[in-house]
Amino acid sequence: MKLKAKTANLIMAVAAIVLGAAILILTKVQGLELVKSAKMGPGFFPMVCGIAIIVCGILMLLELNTQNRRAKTDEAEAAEMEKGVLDPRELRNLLVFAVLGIGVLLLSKYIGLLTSLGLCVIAYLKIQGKDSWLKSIITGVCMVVFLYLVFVLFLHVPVPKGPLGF
Amino acid sequence: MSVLSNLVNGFSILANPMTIVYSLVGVVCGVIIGALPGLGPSVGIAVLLPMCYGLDPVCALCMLCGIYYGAMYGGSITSILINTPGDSAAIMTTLDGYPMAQKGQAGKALGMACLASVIGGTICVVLFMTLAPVISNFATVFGPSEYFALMVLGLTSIAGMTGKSPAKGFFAAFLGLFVAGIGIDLIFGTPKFVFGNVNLYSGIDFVPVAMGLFGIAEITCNFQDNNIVVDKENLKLKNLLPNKEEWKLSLPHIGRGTILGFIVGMLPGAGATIASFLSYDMAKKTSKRGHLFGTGVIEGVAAPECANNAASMGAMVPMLTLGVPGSGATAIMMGALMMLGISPGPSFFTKEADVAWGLVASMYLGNVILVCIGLGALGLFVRILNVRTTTLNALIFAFILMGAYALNNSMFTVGVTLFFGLLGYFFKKVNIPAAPMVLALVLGALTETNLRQALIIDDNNFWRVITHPISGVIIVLAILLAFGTPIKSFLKKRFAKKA
Amino acid sequence: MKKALALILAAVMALALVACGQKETPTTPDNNDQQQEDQTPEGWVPTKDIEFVIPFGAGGGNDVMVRKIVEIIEKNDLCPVNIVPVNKSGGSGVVGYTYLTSKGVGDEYTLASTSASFYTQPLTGNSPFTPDETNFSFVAHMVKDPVVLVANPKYGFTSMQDIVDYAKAHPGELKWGGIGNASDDAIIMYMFNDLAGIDLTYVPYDDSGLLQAAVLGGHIALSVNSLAEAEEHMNAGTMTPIAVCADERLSGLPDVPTTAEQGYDISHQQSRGIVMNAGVAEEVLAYYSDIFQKVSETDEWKEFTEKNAMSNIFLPYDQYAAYAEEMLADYTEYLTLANVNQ
Repeated sequence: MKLKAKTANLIMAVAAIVLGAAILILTKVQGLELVKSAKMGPGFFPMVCGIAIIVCGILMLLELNTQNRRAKTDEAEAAEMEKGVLDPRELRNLLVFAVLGIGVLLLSKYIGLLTSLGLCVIAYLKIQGKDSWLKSIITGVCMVVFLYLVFVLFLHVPVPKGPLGF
Repeated sequence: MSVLSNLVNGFSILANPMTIVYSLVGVVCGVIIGALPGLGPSVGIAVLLPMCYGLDPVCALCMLCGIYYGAMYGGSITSILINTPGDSAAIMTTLDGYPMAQKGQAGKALGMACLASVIGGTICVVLFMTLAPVISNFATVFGPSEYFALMVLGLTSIAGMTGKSPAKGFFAAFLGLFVAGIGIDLIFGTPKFVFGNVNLYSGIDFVPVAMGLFGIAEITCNFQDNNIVVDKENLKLKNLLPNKEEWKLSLPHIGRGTILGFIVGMLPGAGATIASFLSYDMAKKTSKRGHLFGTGVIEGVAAPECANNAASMGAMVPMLTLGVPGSGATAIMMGALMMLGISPGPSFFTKEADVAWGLVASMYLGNVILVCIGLGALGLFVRILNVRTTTLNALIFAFILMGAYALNNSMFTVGVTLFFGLLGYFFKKVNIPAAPMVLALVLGALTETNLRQALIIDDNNFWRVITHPISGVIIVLAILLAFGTPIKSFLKKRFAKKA
Repeated sequence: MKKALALILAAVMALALVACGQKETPTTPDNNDQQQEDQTPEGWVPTKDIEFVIPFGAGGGNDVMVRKIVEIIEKNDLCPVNIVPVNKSGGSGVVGYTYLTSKGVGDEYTLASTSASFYTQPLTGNSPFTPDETNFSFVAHMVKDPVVLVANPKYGFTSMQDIVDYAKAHPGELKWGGIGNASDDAIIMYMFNDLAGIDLTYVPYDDSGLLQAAVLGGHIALSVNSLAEAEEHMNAGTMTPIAVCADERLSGLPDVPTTAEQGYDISHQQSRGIVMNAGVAEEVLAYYSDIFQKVSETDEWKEFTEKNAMSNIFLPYDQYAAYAEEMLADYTEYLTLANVNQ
């Protein structure tokens, strides 16, 4: 299925309006007042942002409308609007990064941050770079050693450590 | 004349090979730390501070200044090469620096960044030397209402960054403004949008947001191997440096950006980031090819780079003459000075004349060393682009996550970076610009805090807030900048019709 | 070939650095008298590295204090293992205490430092950790921070009475700047308002540099500063010292009377101490308390507190808990006062 630029823009505009409304509702739910003890309250700025985001969403819809109208006469504009937004290979890349990122978040607590970053580098090279195991592992290990030298020894960053002590 | 003799005195203090060595060590460490994603000058100075214990004050100062300048320049290296700002002051450098790298002009962009930094720095040393003892009180003229006006001026520069669709640009800006408001309310202590998560209590820092929106989004979209090839011929120094034509285009912006950066830098709290934003915006508005900004023009690199260096120098003025640090980095530097037994303050230039003028002289020295290192290592930096894209992606990803962790020593920041990386990817796909969001995030919290403080001070009278003499002038300037072009074209039309 | 060489080089360098980085653990016992005297009777000794959580950012007052303590311990060999300071900043200390408690009840290898927000955050409902023995074990109380009340010279104030007179003649005009909204700075002002029957207005700041600039520029009239922050300005005449919020006059400012001497006793002071997780055995607490007592007795520490105008008030573990309870009661009272006035 192809996501056309115009559909993507439509989704974005609606999402913006929903987001703005959500901010307004949250401001209300969390009890952030506009004015408190005769001073500007904590809810004032969020409310301004919420309203402004809704307005921007509506403006995006209007912009989209104008573009659609123009697209009827203008070839280039029409092509632009019909263009697909998402590339399956790009999505795959995104997915790999997302999985690896979440993996690092979850694993660092158990096997240490440096180890999980090393594994992450190896996995990415193996999956996306199609490198040989040897090359991936060497690069991954070098990266870990480098990060260790710079961040732990030189900058004294206290990183989460695994059971092996690194 | 006394300034000159003082300076000569300062240089004579420096005429010691050890000071040069320490300055060199400082600059090298600074460049390395600045180039790591997320880590900027303040982290650099904080972590390398222990190396200064027990040093002679002048040596320690040389090294600290070296770290400071080095880190300011280092931040731009990753901005240009891999679209990941090394620190917040380098965000604007990505806008034109990275497109230049994509066009195969990475060397030129880096060379210009280095030279603009150095020119900005050198002009500022002169400004510093002549003005610092005189204008120390400038920083105190600015109270909350003046800061609020300045932030409004900064926010108007968003209008210049929106690209094709203003609605999308402003959507990003307001989203940034909203994110800036997350955390515990300064005035009332009420938690805002934290959902009980203690990590959100102090708000969302803009460094992980910028790393996500720029860096991670970029490596996600960029997965095909080797689209930029740098061959040996291009690595010759002659080809790496900007040519005459490019100098002609950039120099006026460097001059203006430097002065602007110095002034903004002198205001505590405003700092290098805002200076680079304002300078970029000003260059875009005053350049003949302003419409090309963002596509990889060299002025777009020169303007923010000279401004952020100038601002870092400007920040030294209130720190040394008032004891009021203007930025995180100078705050830590001030701590270091006090540890060395020097207390900056109103009497610094008279009581500690030797150290003061030694410091000015070490600033010159730091700049000279920065040119040598910056240009000397240019070829080395550019070679990064020859690494296979997938390999580079994997390494950048690991670096960004590590840098994000090191910011707060917290995995939560890593999560924030990943989240904004995902958001940045979708933004890219629907052409929502990321720069306004980051700008609004930087300015948002300051705008809100200063406005509310100003309202308390002026008894809730908004009119009084914006009619303090200085804030009034700045607000008018902001309105002119924001609506200048439409007003001009409107007037033109009117006159054209009449004629 | 070249690559392999580079790799080997990197590995060698890494090893060398690792070796240098590790602190040499003394293999032969030092036979000086100090060491023998230090034998702890309780028998508990740490066997692995100790983490010292600083719930605030690098360069702040708390950070500087903890790093000084660790430096003194290392220099004088007061502890057989490494003590590693770890900054976990955010949420006015709450992030740091969350990290501390995540180590579990009874954890013997994590320390944390405290400051005013240790008491104020739970009271304002922004922290789940009440400062008592259900959440923490109290190890040692280290210092108190006296502050100096300063005014912008354009008002011509020289005493607290001047401020009271002016405030009564010009209601609502005087602004008092401070860090944070439910902080010591705010509490001192509300106490003053309450005692003198005046209405100073509180302006919260989040950055002490900006706050100082605002006082210097006359955007706000009054604020409280540590002596170290304000000394240069008082010497140069750009800030007028009005009173010292401490129990007695400061050695660095012998001519400035305390608040109590001027009839408005608002001498509330921030207290800084060291805590651990709840449920730590008494002998462990005694061991640590002993180390910190030795720290507080060194000349270096005395010099440090003197330079930063802190009052060196050491309390061992068995007195600190009761003291913390007292502090909490004080804060509860003052913050109610602040809320009523807000």
